[in-house]
Amino acid sequence: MLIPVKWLKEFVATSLSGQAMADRMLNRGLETTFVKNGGEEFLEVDILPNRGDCLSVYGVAREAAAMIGAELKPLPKPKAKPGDRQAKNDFKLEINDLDLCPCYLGRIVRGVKIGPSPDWLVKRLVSAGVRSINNVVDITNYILLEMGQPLHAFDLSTLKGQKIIVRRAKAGEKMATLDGKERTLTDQMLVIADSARPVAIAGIMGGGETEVSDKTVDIFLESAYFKPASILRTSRELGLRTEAAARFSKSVDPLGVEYGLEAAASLFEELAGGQADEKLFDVSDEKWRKAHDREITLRPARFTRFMGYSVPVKEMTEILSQLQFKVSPKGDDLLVKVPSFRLFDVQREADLIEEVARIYGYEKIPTTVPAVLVEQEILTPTEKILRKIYPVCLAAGLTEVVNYPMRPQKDAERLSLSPADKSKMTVLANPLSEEQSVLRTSIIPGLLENCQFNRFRQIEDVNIFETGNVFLKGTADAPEERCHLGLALIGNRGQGGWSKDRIGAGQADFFSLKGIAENIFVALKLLVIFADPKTSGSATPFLHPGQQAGIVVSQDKRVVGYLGQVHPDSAAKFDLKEAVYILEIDLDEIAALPQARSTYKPLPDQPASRRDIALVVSKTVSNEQIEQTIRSAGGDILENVQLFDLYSGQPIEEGYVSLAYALTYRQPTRTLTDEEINNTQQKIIQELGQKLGAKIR
Amino acid sequence: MTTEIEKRLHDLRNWLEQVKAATDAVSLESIRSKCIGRNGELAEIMRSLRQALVEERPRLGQLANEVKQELETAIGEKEKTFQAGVRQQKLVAEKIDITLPGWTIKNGRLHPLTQVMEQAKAIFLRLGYAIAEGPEVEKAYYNFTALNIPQDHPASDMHDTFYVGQTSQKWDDQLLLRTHTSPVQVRVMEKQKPPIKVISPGRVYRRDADVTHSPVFHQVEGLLVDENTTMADLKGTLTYFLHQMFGRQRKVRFRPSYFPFTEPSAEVDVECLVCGGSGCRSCKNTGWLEILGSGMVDPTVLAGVGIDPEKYQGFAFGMGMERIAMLKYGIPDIRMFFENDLRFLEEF
Repeated sequence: MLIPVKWLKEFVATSLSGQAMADRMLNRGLETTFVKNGGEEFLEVDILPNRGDCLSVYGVAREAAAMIGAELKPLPKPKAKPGDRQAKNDFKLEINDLDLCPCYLGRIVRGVKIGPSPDWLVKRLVSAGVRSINNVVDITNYILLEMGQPLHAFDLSTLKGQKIIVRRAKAGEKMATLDGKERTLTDQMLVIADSARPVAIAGIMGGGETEVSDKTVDIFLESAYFKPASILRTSRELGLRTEAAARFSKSVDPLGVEYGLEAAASLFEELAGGQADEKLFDVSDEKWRKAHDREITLRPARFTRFMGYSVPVKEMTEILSQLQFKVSPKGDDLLVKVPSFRLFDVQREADLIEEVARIYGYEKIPTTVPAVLVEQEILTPTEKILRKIYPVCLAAGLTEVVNYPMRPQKDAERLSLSPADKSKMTVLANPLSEEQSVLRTSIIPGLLENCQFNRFRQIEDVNIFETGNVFLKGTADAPEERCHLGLALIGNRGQGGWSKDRIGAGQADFFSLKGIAENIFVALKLLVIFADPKTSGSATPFLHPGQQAGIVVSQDKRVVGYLGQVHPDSAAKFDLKEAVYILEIDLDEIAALPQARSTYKPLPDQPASRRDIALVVSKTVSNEQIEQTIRSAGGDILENVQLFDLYSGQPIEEGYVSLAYALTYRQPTRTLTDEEINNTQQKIIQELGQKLGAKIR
Repeated sequence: MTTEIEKRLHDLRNWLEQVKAATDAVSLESIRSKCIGRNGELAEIMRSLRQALVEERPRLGQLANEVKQELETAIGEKEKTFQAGVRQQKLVAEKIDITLPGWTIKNGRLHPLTQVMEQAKAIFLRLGYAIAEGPEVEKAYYNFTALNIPQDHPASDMHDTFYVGQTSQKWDDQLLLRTHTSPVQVRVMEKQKPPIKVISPGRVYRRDADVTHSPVFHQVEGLLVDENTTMADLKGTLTYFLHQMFGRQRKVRFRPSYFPFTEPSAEVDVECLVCGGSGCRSCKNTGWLEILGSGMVDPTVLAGVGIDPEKYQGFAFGMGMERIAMLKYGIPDIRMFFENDLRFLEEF
């Protein structure tokens, strides 16, 4: 809210400059900035939603006076002219719904001459950012700005049946508001009606047909207290945020309702040539009136225990009195009566503690550090897993990305998801756009977009990973959230292309991807199998059918992820022509497994013997089959088998491949003889030939 | 005879000159063979030793040994100089172009948000806070109601919310994307008795998008509830945190503010990281940057989770990681965090 300093100083007796006032107020609980514009000085005050009482010049003045310790001057008294107020009328006021409108006052002002406002009034309004319309509307706006009570002036001649009724709207009832729009109402919305129709949405906006016009002569002026929650709900539902609604929804001063009415009526007489009727229409709820006497006990001892320092009782009393609270002693404690304009936000002792603390000054709070220790697991299981995975990803040259979990629905089609998988997508009720309308069920589509984004910017090599929740909708209302790791490789894996035989620096392929996966599971101390999707039964539709694997935990055969080349059709749907390699792992599935501990194993004290086997087999035979055959024939003394060469092409026959394995033999308790090893080698060669048709080279 | 043998032995020392003069390993080997080799001069003298007097033999033998030793040492040393030369030549021939680039898989990097988040977490872990997590798709109860934000209170306007799925009949059951990580605190307090000392880092959502607002952003929030935790403790804790995070020379300022779930509430500002407090565009010429929201946990919130607010009290705080990263690194647009341009990510 923009407050002209000159106007403010009519109520706050201070010689402080606008800047000095702003600095002081900022540190005492009103977010205030000093602004100079066109030679005029303003305080720009950002009012927090619990402080509706500050939504006026006088409201800010009340706070400012307490904050800078200055005298607060009273609002001008309405210049009532009781002698003039004699005209009788048989107009009627009814409130049907006291629960939503506990207080409604009205006064008829007759014979106004609609015209421009005097200069001083126009200037005031303009300086506060309000456009001048005519004297009647300007006066209601002026009162609103000055003391915060929204008012509404009806053209009396347009009200049918000599009657104002405050009631809930009928479901589906329609009315045209003065912004020219037709509004459809619900039976939870409060309206001001005449005998025939609604003429205003209570506390929010008047109707077009009953507003003051150039032809208006007699006015019905309204000043009311509407229940904040009801105004807020209606204003939200209609998408109608007005100055009046902003104030009613944060509660106006219950004792300001009458002042606002009389101040405006008095100005109508003074500036618009009108004459007010004697009769004051007043319907209000007795219970509501009584609720304004709120007294709260403030225990200074409680303040000290809560805040960690003490404020002398005398100073507490002074601070609260400056804020217009009435304070009386009650034993060691203070009995504090809340002023009417603070009933909305000051309801408990804690609120009073804050009042004292903020005016006393947060800069005076001492700094201590609590010595509380809690005996609980410091890291969550997922956090522990992440801490093992990050170093592997970084060492593998992967840069972390962070994507929005909101995705377009078309991901389902781009990833060729089955209807069952598509149904796992959680739909947002009010997305910002179609592109962000469902929650991701996989990390991969975001990564593919990142690949495309970077390739488009001539970044050829993209090696990225992301961790974060995916959202899987099942039968429950809320989706299941699981933390996943995803990674994607495109282009070169590293630098050093000038040196041809360097490991790892070449183009990304299935095996560089698998290498990273292997390292991840080494770091997690989890034995897994990279299984053919046909055998593991988990083929991923958006991966290359011949270059993908499921990741299966060796021990219990549960599937924890997959990896492979993205199917060229899916890649094309993300505008990627190049081969992309991806992996996705469900980290929460792994976090749920018993975590392996490292244990000491004695180092071997017997020497190892290495023998190589080079063989040629049909391409239909897998490395896994060969390794298994070697291991089973090798028995106990065979410690390790490692592939070190693979070759196909001339002079190897078409359809065949040459492989070379290094075999390590060792017995922990004794030195092996050459004879033993040679016999085992022979046995292995024999089995390879018999079972797999392998020829030894 | 004895004298002649003795002289011949002494004369053997003349070879030392030739050893010294040798220019390569081959000539040195030939010298060695001639003087102390199996068929060399010394061997010949030794064979003639039989002709010497029996009592003279030990003395002559000892002399022979001495001379042999001298020659061997000299030859050995000469040999070493030749070997060093050969090795030196080999090393010279092995010179490479050390300006060629190294071959490697370049280290990857953590996202700047993760880096800042990890820094913040590390400071609080050092202070003994445990990490707590909760769902991103939350119920309105945990996101709003339990935090003293009734549906019909204007404070709920502070959060533009994404709703999930169907609109629920009962407001408390309405699913939404959490607008802060505070619901995690409620869930922790429901499950655990004080003392409670947790931070809840995580992803949050607001229906808002521009240069400084992203519909997705990250928070780290903290909660400490015990019997005598005070506002002074809050101030001490956050001052320590900000000094660790931004440097001990930075001034820190606490201002009264309003959050529905804390009372009293404080906004915490740190001296502008860009201009150091003299005023600039980043701090809107105030010299200060708003970093943290905080306060004493509202008694209504404690009572709502079954913790007696007369017995227990505590503080809570929260901050946005994007804002901190933007200020720390001078990043002008929040959307850059989520574009994932590798050139941007590799700057940090």
